[in-house]
Formats: sequence, structure tokens, C-alpha cells
Amino acid sequence: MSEIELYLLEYDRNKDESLRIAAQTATRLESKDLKLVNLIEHLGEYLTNEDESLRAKTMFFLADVLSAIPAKTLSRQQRGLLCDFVLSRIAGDPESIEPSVHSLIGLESMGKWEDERAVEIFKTLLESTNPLKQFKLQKQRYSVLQLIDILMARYRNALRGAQSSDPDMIEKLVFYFDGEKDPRNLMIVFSVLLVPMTEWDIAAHAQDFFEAVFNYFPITFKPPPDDPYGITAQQLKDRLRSCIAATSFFAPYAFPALLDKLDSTSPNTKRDALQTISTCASGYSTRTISLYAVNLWDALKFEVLNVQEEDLAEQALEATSNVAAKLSGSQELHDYLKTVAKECNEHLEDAPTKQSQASGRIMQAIAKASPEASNFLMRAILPQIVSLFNAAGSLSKRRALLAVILQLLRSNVAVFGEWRTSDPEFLQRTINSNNALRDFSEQIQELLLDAVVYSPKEEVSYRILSVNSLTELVKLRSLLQDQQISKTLHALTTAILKEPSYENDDLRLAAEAGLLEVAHQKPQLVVNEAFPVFLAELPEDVRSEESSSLRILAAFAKLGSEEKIFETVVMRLRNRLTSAFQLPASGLYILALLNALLYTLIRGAYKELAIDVQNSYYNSMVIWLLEQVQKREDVLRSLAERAAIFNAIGRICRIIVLNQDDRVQQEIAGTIYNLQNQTEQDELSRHDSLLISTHLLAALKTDVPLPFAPSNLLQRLVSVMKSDSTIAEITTASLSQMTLIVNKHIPESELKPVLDEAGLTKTNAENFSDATVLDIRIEFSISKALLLRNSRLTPSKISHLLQRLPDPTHGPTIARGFSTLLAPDEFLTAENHCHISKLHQQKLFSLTVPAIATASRTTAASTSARQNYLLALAGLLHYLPYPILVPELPALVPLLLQSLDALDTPLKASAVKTLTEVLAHDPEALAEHANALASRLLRASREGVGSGVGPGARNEAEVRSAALACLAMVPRALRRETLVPMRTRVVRELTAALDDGKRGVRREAVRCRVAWIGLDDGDED
Amino acid sequence: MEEELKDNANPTILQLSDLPSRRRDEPSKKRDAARAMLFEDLVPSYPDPFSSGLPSPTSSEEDAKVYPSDDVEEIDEQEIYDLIAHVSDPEHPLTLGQLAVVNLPDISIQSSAAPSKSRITTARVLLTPTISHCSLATVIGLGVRVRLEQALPPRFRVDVRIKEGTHSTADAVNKQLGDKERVAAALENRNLMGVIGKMLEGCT
Amino acid sequence: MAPPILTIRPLATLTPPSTTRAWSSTPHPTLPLLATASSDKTVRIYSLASYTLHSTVAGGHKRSVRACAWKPGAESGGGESVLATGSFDASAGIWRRAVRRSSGGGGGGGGVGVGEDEVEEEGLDAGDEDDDEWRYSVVLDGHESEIKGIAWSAGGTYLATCSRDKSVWVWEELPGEEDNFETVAVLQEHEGDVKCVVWHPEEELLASASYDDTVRLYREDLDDWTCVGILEGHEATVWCVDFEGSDGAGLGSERDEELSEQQRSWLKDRKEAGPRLVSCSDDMTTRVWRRVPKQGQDFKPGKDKMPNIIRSDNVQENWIEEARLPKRHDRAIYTVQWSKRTGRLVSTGSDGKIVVYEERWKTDHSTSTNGTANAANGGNNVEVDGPNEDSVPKFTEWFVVDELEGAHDVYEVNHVCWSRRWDNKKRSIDEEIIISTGDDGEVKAWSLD
Repeated sequence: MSEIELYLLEYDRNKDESLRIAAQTATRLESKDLKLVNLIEHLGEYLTNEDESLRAKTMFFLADVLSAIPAKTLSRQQRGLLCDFVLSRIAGDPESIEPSVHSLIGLESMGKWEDERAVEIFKTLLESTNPLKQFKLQKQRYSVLQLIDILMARYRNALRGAQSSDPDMIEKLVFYFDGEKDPRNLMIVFSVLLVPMTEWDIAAHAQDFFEAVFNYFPITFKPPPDDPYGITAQQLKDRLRSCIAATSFFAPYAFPALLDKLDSTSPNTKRDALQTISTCASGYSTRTISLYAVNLWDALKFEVLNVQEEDLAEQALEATSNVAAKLSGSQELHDYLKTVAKECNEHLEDAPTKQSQASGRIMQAIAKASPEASNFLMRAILPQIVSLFNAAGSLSKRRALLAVILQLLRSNVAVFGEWRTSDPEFLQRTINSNNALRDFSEQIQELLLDAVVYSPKEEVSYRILSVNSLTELVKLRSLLQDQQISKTLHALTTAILKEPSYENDDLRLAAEAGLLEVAHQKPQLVVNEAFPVFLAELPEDVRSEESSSLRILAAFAKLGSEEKIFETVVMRLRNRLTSAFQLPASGLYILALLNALLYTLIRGAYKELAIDVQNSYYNSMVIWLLEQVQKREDVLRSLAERAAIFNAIGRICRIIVLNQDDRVQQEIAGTIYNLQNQTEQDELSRHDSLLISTHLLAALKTDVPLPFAPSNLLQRLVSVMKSDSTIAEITTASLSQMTLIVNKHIPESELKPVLDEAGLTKTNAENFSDATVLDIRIEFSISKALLLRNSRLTPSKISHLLQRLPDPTHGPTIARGFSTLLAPDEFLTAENHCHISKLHQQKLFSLTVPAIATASRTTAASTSARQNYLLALAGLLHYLPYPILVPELPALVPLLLQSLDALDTPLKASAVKTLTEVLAHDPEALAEHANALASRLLRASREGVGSGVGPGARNEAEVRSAALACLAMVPRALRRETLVPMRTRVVRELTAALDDGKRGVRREAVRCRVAWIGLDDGDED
Repeated sequence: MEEELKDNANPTILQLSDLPSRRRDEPSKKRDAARAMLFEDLVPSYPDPFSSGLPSPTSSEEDAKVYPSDDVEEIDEQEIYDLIAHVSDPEHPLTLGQLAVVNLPDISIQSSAAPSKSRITTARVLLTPTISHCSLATVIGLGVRVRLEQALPPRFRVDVRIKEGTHSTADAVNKQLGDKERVAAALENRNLMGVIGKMLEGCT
Repeated sequence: MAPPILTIRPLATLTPPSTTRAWSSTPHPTLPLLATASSDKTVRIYSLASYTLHSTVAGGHKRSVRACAWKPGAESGGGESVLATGSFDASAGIWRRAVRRSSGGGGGGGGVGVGEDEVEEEGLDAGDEDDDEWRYSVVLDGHESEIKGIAWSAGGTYLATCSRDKSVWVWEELPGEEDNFETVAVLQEHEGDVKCVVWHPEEELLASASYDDTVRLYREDLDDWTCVGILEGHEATVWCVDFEGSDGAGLGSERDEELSEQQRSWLKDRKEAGPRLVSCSDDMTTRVWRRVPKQGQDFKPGKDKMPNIIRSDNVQENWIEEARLPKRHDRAIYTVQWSKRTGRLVSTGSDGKIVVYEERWKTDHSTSTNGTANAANGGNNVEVDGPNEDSVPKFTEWFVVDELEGAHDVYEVNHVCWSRRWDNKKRSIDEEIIISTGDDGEVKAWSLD
């Protein structure tokens, strides 16, 4: 049997087989043992058969063969032959259009056609397959479209040439795709049509082309849930839009039609229409737009003046702006903007209204469009605003006008850029087009300065508006002269320094932000003019917390975040500090200065400094500070105050030491040693040294060799704690040092021995009962250090602690301890070069939670023991990221619910928070607990009575609001049917929380109650 | 256009920032001091679970922010204002606060007369319609009343009225809003509750 | 004789309460049953013997049930209990449930009254499964909006309903044809919601109270129902009206020897005038109204029913405000009810108070036209500002017997009424208790002693 026969046999039975056969034929052609002519001849008899499906299959055979043949096999002349053959089929046999087209695509891939050939094929298609909708099957049309797409893409010029000499082609093409509905095909249709629309001379057929695409507007296509082609409505919309915007010839039809769509009641249609208008505005020619500008304005303004949907307004604004941008540089711009300005001015007259506010937005949008647009509006609007402002009787009117001024200034910055911009475009602009704002800048600035300085102090928002406007004005590239800026500068500084704290600090904060902006634009100016004023306000000493100097100091420190003046700020603070130390000033003031310094280092531009500059800070700060500490006059200060001061010093040093080179780090290691060993020191100084050395230790890199044996240090720390255990700061500092040493400075291999040596591994010590709280804390600190570095010793440590949980005496303490294991920690951080294993949370979870779950479930566990388990669990959950818990949820949920009843500490809140997470991510885990959950949360939402907590005990406000927030999620999270029966009860019982003593709780209660009331009880009227 | 249907297409509106609000950090002196030092969040302090008795530094700090002081905070006029200021107008995407339909000075709370020991408290809210013939005054009033009945404890009696001289048919509207039976019936009317529901969406 | 000092004491809270607002409660005329209309769309039938839920009338209404009324005498001859319900869904319903004679005994869920001294008594049979259900036998459609009040005429011939649609409808159950109701009148006299309807204790005289601040009276005249009187004076919505008992109980009869000549003749006049009306309002006043007897022709009220007048213009009745009760409520007054046994009044309202009033002879018999008096009952020395148009000298005045704050905690009290006491601790056969119904969904019983 011949291959074609086999192929026909297999065609319906087994596609792969049939393909294989075709491939076989292909190889025979390649190996020349089958001649192309014979093949064609052979096909001939089937192609004349009256059974059309047989003819189609035969053509598929040919198509499959061709797609299987390697390029180069067929000679150019052979391919030509085949083309003629296939084209004759297309003309003669519509039934086999699909395979024929495939064959052509196959041939094309073997070698580019001559232009004539391409044109011929294109025309044949237009001739014999027109209209395309005659083919009922989507894939038939699809394949034809593919071919046309190829032709349009690769033979552009040929086709353009052809159509210019043969108008008939356009005629046919316009209606060719009529009635296409399939999204996949439409994607191609749109992109195919885009070519003639943009490149051919279609003036004569503009309307037909326009309608050919606009028929599909607006696209309402919703892809089926399991759409294999993943075509979105958005893709269609985008392609359609670019068609409509393709050529100005469409304008006469497009704009009326689109404006008409704006009356639609469907927001989606309006949205499409507006977007399309925007695109057309930028797509069409300036001349075209100028014809429609005013009509467009009339329609578009409406969307902004009477906002229905915010995003529609946004779209409309963009459109108005695009129009302006397009018209810029042409005379017509002025006619357009005249209309705009006129209307806006009218609205401004009766400010403050919805529409005066809208006009502000409009002008901001349009002024952004181009320098010309900006200049025109500034000239047209600003004088008006100023006169309205001066004439205004009410402050609310003035405020509204100020708001508009601010908007205009912002748009101006967008057009002309800032002083420190590097964008060449802006540089050009400021050179070329003179900013019309310049003519008004002085006037406006005066007006704003008045508003800030002379308007009533309690008019906060009004004055803030002015401050922000002043700031924008300063930003503006090459607008204000330095002496003008100085005026603003002066106003801002006065606001910061002299402003009485009225109600809140918003104004001062705005002024600070403004000052920072000036510092960014004009650093030197600020240093020269503002700094002296600030420093004049900073006294030698301050003794009252209420003193305004502290506030000023704060404001000054904030300036450090501007990199250009950072170093100056630091230097000034350093000088203050020097004299404060010498005086000596009050601890309060020294602390404030230190903190100011610390703040500039952390929040300021320190990290942006060149590395060598950073290094220089070692001498200028660390060494310097340590000297100050050595030779300080010992005025007696409270322990707490001293601790605060030395911690502050420590923190400053830490930041600087962190990234110093090895030499310095080495030196620091030495310093630490000395600090630890100044035996001659009095007790106080020993404490001070301990604190500082803790921070230094934190800054050390792991590979820095220590001048002392870790075990010794550990031992010394233990003894320190035992002796001075009364002083909290000392204990915490010592514990931190231990964790740092254990985590950073002992190799895994030596951990065990070192800890043993230091006597810190008395795991399951029999004499556990006489362990002190301190011992337990040490246990936890060590465990934490190990856990974070994911040491092999971790599991035994943790399980030891777990075993002790039921212990009547120490159980509760240990339970509380578990929250420390994951608690954030000032010292154990990656920044401090600590070993932080990515897995440590996961690790701890698997070590503890399942164990706790089983343990607390065993009937053996006494109530107090169960209490401890739940407490420990809550502590862990408080810091465990939710995803880690998920696998254990089934075991966890019951425990969490128990915790709500059992616990009476703030930790209860963490149980509640976890439940909230569960509701958010895995509600089904709580599905069958709905009732229990609701009742318990309701109880947790009460302070005392009926709150489920024991007598005396009460639910903290924190817990109460957490419970309510959680309960509020239930209606959204769980199935309606399960909740409806509980609805009335919950809604009713929540009235108790509505009367809670704390406002924050009441707020949650209201949200919660509304959520439950909103729960539709489903029975219809 | 639908605009013509609106009673007042171009109402006067207030800046959000000017609406009366409770100051973030009230009154809590000690916070001002801390703020003056400006570095409260700079110096990290973490709860110490071992110092069991006294609450840990952080948590008390936070509490100070969320729950300013330990004594009871009574429900006051500002709180009621906050409850209703975000109710949105049925015909503008604006809130009753922005439109100055509800104003802090027009909210009053009276606890029942001295001799009686009942805990019943009256919250009275006077509304100022954007224009004196606003046909939606009743709906707005109902919205406010519904909001307050959902959000205030039952010991509160809610009186929502149109401020004198601000509306042509104030008396009629007031009588309706004051009629418990009518309000109750309205709450059982789904269509009406649909409208109200939309008005209350913005409330949080 | 110094009047006894009475106190309102909590007796029981009926269980279980409704989970949402309860509107009103109506005691059964002869059985130990109470029907409570609730916003949960049901009516809850409680046993007044055990103060527990007996059965629930559900599945008929789509919105709040606002009020209900027991058909008088329905059970006689072993018939069924008949309950009429009016709902916010604009429809009224007629519900039936079988009853049978039951031997007395402990007041269980069955709600059998206790009282050896009672000859025999009917009780609903809770045990019998077959008719344990309330049957929704008729729906009365017609009103355009919420029905707010419903009442059977004394003989049970007529049923009146009123609605927010400003109309009062009178329905008649066609004799013989059970469950076939016909609309005999649609009275659209009021200019606002009609809040409440009530029938005269024996005449076929209907009174309605309205949102338009008035009370109106209706009679059938030449088989056509018309408005025969209007009571004006309230300055806000009139929430409720009630008739006095037919024998004007309280102050004794005109044959009573202890009374002065004047007092007796005065009583006689009053008897002729017939039962009075009491109304309460959003204006925080409660007023008593009296009919002015027709001059010139013998008007015999009482037993021989309708006056034999043919000329319809004579149907018009003139009612005047006789007295105002001491002002004790500081918010809207929702209900006032007249005890048919003692002639006392009880009122309640938005302020959550329950107040009981009593009418007493003036201590000094001077005929002042606005009654001020020094009462025996300490602290209740009351200034009653009398209505101006009243020419009749005052012999009596109203005193507050007792008042109770926060009867339903902080919630509003929607309804209060008098009922015979049925539980086993009752002091006498005809002891009366007060029953209050509140926004908290609770129904409470109060004794007065």
C-alpha cells in the first residue's frame, strides 16, 4: 500500500502514526528515492476524488510532509512549483483550505518568497477566501490568519507597494475579517489591520477600516476559567485601542463615537472609552487634536468635576493632559488652555467646593504636560488666585486656594525639575523655556510666608499647606535667588524653634521636612544660615525633660540624614558633647546629646560616606569617646542614668567599629579585654566598662582572634551576675555577652568542651530543684545562642528545658522563658556578624511544638503543668512566622482554644493572634470549632466579669482588642451556614464590649459587631 | 445626565485634615518627654518575660500609645463624631464629615438626670443638610442612626435630628427619625438597608 | 382612710427570652397563656402558670410580628384557641390550635391554671402531638405597609387592624363560615401611621391612635362605619389608647354609703358617660378622656348597647380631656393600660420605667377646676395641670402609686399590661400582675403589693 494510502488509513485512527508516515515520505523525498513530481501525480487521483474530506486529508498529507522536510531539500524551483500547485487548490478547493495554508506556511519557512509571490498569495487569499467567515471552523480561519500575519510581517513593503497600484486590495481587505468572533483570531486580526492603518494610504477607506475594528468596542470578553490560550480581555483591549488610535483619519468617527460611550452607565465602558481617548490624544496628529480639543475638554472635565469613580477621574485627567501635551508647540494650545483656564477660574471663585477642588486637579494634570502648558496656566491662573486670596473673607476659602497653589507648584516641579536634578532634559528646559512662574514667585512666596507667620496658630492644616508650598517653591530649579530662599529658610527654622506645641506637632514636623528639603537642594545655605540659629538655641546644659532645647536638638539631629551636611551635623554635636562632658552637664543632657549623635549615625547618611571617611570615625569618635569615659569627672548619677549613658556610648562605638578593618577590630578586641580587666576600678566603673564592652563585642567579626579564653570570660560573667544580680542592666548585658561569645567566637567543635569548662552544661542536673531564676535565664541565653547558630547541642538543651516545664516551682519561670528564644534581640543580629541559621525557627518549632502538644494532651499532665505548656507555647507562637505552624495546625488549634481559657497574661494575645492567622490562611482548620471559638473570644473580649479568667485576673486591653479583631474575621473566614445560627447571640453579646473602658477596644468591638451584623441571614423578603 | 437628579451637584467641602480628630498621642506627658528625646524607637528595648510582676518596658510603652492611661476613657462627643463622620453621602463619594453634615459641636451626650440612678445616656446628633431641600435628609439621618445603634452600647438612647433652620421640612424628618417603630421597620426593608449599607461601607 | 402603699416587685422573667426585640404581650382572656409578639418573626406563647415557653407561632410572617390578639370566647364549647397576629410584612394572620378540657393540677408547660377554688378551667393540651402545632388558617391581606395594631371586638365579631398606610380596617368573620373574613370597613381618617386600635369593652365602638397626634373613634351607622369623634390635644405621636373597664372600677359605686352625696351623684354621671379612654404619647404625657353625654335625649350606655338613634348626625360624640397623669416619663411613652379590675393605670416607655397610677377622691371637696391636692401618699403630692375646656368640677385626681427604674436593665420597654395571676403563689383568685415586654427580648412579670 502506498504511503498516502496508509496515511489516509491512519489519519483518523492515530495522528502520530499518520505523522510518522508523512515524515517517512519526507525522508524519501530528501534521499531522492521519491521524486516530488511523482508524489504530486500520485496525490492527484485523491485530489480529484469527489469526497471533499478525502481531498482535505490528502492535502494534510502534503502539509505534514512539507513540514517534515528539512529546509534546503527542495530547490527554489520545486518550491515555486508547489506554491503554484497549492494556490490552485486554495482557489479550487475551499474545503481543504487549512492544509493548503499549512503547506504554504511550510514552504515559506523553507525560504523567503519573492515579493511578487507574496503579493500573489496575499491577493489569492483575498480573492478566494473572502469573506473569511465562510469558514465555519475557528482553526480554519486561524490558520489563514497566521499566514496573512506572516505576509504582513515579512513582506510589508511588497504589500504596501502592491496596494498603492491596486486600490482593489484595500477594498477587499477591509471587509475580509467581518464577523470574526474568536478571541484568538481577533488578536491576529487587530495586529494585521494595524499595518495598513498605519502604513497604507487608507484615507478613502478610513471609515470602513474604523468600523471594522470599532464594532468590537467595548471588549466584553471574559476568558473561560480553563482557557488554554490565556488570552485576557486586557490584551484584546490594548490591541483594539492601538488600532483605533492608529491614524488621524479615524478622528472624525472615533471621537464622536467614544464621547458617546462616555454617557454609558457601565463604568467599564466609560473606563475603556477614556483610556482610548487618552491614547488617541497622543496617537493622532496635532492638527487633528486641535480640531477636537474643546469638545474633548467639555466631555472630559465632567468626569473630574463630578467624580463617580476615582479611577475614571484619573483617566479623564490623563486624557486632558495628553491633549495639552500633543498641542504643545502649536498655536492651538492656547485656544484649548484658554477654555480650561476660564472654567477653572470660575470654579475657584466659589471655593471651597467639590468643583474648585476638581479644577485644582485638572490644572495640575494639564500644567504637567509641557513647559508651554505650564507657562500658559501660570499666567492665566496665578494672578486670579492671588487676587481671590487677598479678597477672600473666610480662611476655608484661602485654604482651598492654597491647596491649588500647591498643586500648581508640584506640576511646575514636574516640568522644570529640582535644583539637584541631573536629568539632562530638565537642564535643557530650564535653559530654553523661561519658567513663567518666575514672574510670580516673589509674590507667591510673600503670600505663603504671611500665611505661615501671621495666620492663627491653631490653623494647623492651613499653615502646613503653606509650609509645603514654600518647600516646593524652594525645590524649583533656578527659580528663587539665594536670598529669597533664605527667607523661607528663616520661616521654617522659626517654626521649628519657636512654634508652641499646639495640639500636635504636625506643623513642626512639616517644617522639619521642609528644612530637610532645603538642605537637600541648597546644603551650604542651610549650614551657613540655619545651623548658627539652631546652635544658639542649644544651651550648655539642660536639666528639665520638658525643655524645648531637647526638641530642638532632635530636629537638628534629623538634618544629619542629608548626606551633604551630615559631617557638619556630627561635628557640631561632638563639640556640644565635649563641653557637656567637661562641665559636666546633667546626665539627661549628655544622654540626649549622645542619642542625637547615635541617631545621626543610624538614620543619617553615615553609611553613604566613603569607606576611608568611615574609618576615620574610629579615631574621631570611638577613641575620643572612650577617652571621655576614662577622664570623666565622676558626678554621682543614678544607676539607671549611668547605664543609659554608657549604653548610648556603646551603641555609637558599635556602629563605627562594625565595619572597621581587621587592624582596628583587633585593637578593639584588646580594648574589650582591658575594659574587662581593670581590676583597680571601682564597682561603678566596672559596670560601665561591662556595658560598653558588650556593644564592642557585638561589633567584632567572628574571625578576630580574642586575647582571652572564651571560657574564662563566660565564667567571669556568671560570677558578675551572681554578685550584682540586683542590677537589671548588668544582668542583661552579661547575658548578652554570653550569647555573643557562644554564638560567634567558639567553633562548633569546641563548644562542648568550652561550655563544660565554664560549667554551663549541667543539663538534667539532679539538683535542678535548687536552681535559681538566674540559672534558668543563663540556660535560655546559651540555648538561644546555640539555636541561632544551629549548633548540634541545641536539641539536648531544648528538650532539657521542656522536661522541666511540669516542675511545680520552676515550671512557670521556664514557661515564660520560651518566648525569649525567638524574641528579637539587640545583639544577636546578622549585622553584628552573628551566626543566624535560616532554619532556626523551623528547627525550634519541630523541637518544641509537637512535644508540647502531646505532653499537654496526656492525662498525666496536671492543670498547673498544662498551664505551663500552654504558656510556653504562647511564648513560642508569639514570634514564630505563621507558615511554619501550618503542618501542625490540627494539633495546635485545640491547644490555642484552651489557651484562651487557661492563660491570664498578655501572652494570651499571641494565642489569639495565631488564631487570627489561621482564620486568614487556613479557615477550614477552625471550621468545626466555630462555636467554641466564638464563645471563647467573646469571653476574652470582656475585662473581668464573665471573662473566663480566674477571680482577680483580668484580660488586658491588648488581649481584649486582639480577641475582638479575631472574632471580626470569623464572618469572612467561615461558612455562612455554620455562623447564621450564632449570629444573633454574638451580635447581642458584643454589646458588652461596646461599653469597654478602653477606646481602642471599643473601636475593635464596633468593627467586629458590624462584621457580624453584616452576615446575611439569608432569608429573603 | 444623572447629575440633574442630584439635589446638590456642587456642595461645599472641607479638607480631611481639618476634620476634628482625637490627637494621636494624647495626653500622656511621659510620651512627650520620650518624644523630645526623639530616640524612643532608636534604643531598642525588648520585653523581659522574667521580670514577671511588673509589665515589661516595651509592652507598657506600646500600651501607652494604644491605651494612653489606665483609667477609663468615657465615650465622648469626639468618639461619636468619629463613628459617623465617615458615613458617606448617598449621592457623592464624600463623607458626611467632609460635607459638614455632621459637626462636632452639634453632638451632645447627656447622662440621665442626677437623682435617678439609671445608666441611660442620651446621644443627640444634629445634622446640617448640604442644602435646605435635600430630599435625602431622611436617608442620611437613618444612616447615622443605624450606625450609632450598631456601634453604641444599649444604654445609649440615640436622637438624630435636623439642625434647626437648616431644612425646609425638618419637623417631618425629625418626627420620622424619632419614631422607633418606623426605624425598626426600615431596618427590615432590604432595599433601604442596601442603600444604608453602601453609605456605611466607608466606616471602619 | 389612707391609701395602701404598693410596690412593684419582680415576680418572674419568662424563659427562654426572645434573642431579639420583643414588641408586645397579650394575656389570654381566660387561660394562663401569654402571647408575645417578637421581631424574630414569631409569636411566643408562654405559660403564666410556670412562666416558661409553651409553644411558638412561627412560619407565617416574613417580618417582625408587631402585635397579636386572642379571640374572645373562641374556646367555649371545646373549640380551638384563635390568635390574630399583625406584622410588619403588611399582613395579618389568624392562627388556630386545639384545646380540650383538662383536669386542674400543677402549672406545667401545659399552662394549666392552679386553683382548687375554680370550678373548672380550660388549658391548652401540650401533650397531644397531633394538634401541638399552631395552624396558619387565614391570611388577611389588604394593608399597603406595616401593620402596627390589631384587636378583636368585645363579642369577637369584628377584628380591627391598623397600619402605617394611615388606614384602619375592620374585618368580620362571616357567621357560620369559619375562616372566611370580609372587609367591612376601610377607615382612612388619619393623616399618619395608625399606631394602635382598641375596642370599647361592650359597645361596638373602635378607637385608634396615630402618628398624626390624634385619637379617633368609629361606629357603624346605617351599616356604614364612620368616624364619630376625634380626640385632639397631644403634641406628638399618640402611641397607645385603652378603654376603662365597663364598671369604672376603683372608686366604688354610687350606692356606696361611705361616700358623700356629691361624690355619689358624680359617680352616677360618670357611669352614664360610660368608660373613659386613656392615651399616651411621644409628648411624654398621658391623658384621660371622658365622653360628654348627649343633652336632650335619654342616652343609656352600658348593657342595652347602641343608643337608639337613627339620625346619623347624632352619632357624633363629644369627648373631652378630663385629666392628665402626673408626668413621670422623660422619653416617649409607648403603652398605657387600664386595669379592668382595680381601675389603676400602668405606663411604660423609652426611659425604661414602669409607672402605676391610681385615681383617688380629692381630699378637700372644693370644686377647683384644676386639681391641686395634698395627697396622703407621701412624696406624690402632684400638680396636675387640667385641660382648659373642662368646665366640670374635679372630684378626683391621679396619684403615682409606684414607679420602677430600669425595668429591663438599660433597654427600652415597649409594652406593659395587666394580667390575672396564675402561678401557685398567688394570694387570691383575682390577684393582678403586671407584664412588661422589652427591647432586650425579655418578658417580665411584676407583682404589685
